[in-house]
Amino acid sequence: MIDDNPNFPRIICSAFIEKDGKFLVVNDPKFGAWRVPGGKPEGDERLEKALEREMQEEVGVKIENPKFLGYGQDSMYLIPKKKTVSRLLMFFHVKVDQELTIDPTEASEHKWVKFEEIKNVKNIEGGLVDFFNRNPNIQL
Amino acid sequence: MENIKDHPWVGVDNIILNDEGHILLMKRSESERNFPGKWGLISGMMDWGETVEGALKREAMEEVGVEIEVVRFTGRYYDALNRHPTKTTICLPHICKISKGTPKVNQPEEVQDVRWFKPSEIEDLDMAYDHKQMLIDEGLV
Repeated sequence: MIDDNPNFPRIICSAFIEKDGKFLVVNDPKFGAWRVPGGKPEGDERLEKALEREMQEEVGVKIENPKFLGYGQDSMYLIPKKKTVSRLLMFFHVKVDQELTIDPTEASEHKWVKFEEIKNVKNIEGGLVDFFNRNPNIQL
Repeated sequence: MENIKDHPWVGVDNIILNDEGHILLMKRSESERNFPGKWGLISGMMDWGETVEGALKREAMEEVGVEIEVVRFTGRYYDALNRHPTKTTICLPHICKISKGTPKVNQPEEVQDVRWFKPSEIEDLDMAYDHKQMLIDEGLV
């Protein structure tokens, strides 16, 4: 099956969602890891459109003016498919002031933390660790 | 079932500069399907499990026979749908410099020439893909 051995990394569009000075992290049952919301672009979708769609689907919020911050890479084990995925995460920053509705299939738990605390969350996705290693002085 | 065409590809672009601020470009072979005969950056697609740096270095060695050091990410990505004639690609240009070797044509089926360009020579140059825009956005042209 083509998808079992793709020859390029999967792009993920992810967002640091800021509300009242704190940022959302979610615990994803598919990986058994904490991450920031995001997902894969579909078809010909451009990244910002993919981000808008994912934010609507995952956390029920309409976002505006996402700001690209940088990327991070990882290799994560996808539990339901029993396979490792090579990923390139594209991180954006968005601010919201609406209430969020978090999709429970995407997040078994969630919490709001200060930006500098994100990298200290236990068991966060590799792509976030790599992003902070690449951008050690980043502040939001 | 997922299909390769349902996901964007990932490309990396080497903006290789020397101490004089010249930019290394390669002339694509006439038999290349995309932008044959045009000058462009040393670039290519990432492989599964490869790091971005690994891909940049691999392309530089494969295409023009040099070892490079990545100086920094430009901080910009390029994903315009028409940037590639046949597929959706997300591209990540990086500023790099040569750490070892002299540029030469290393892959003649893809590359017919390679040399340093002064920025003034690039102003009117019609380049492959959106490589010229990458240089403009970086303030190099």
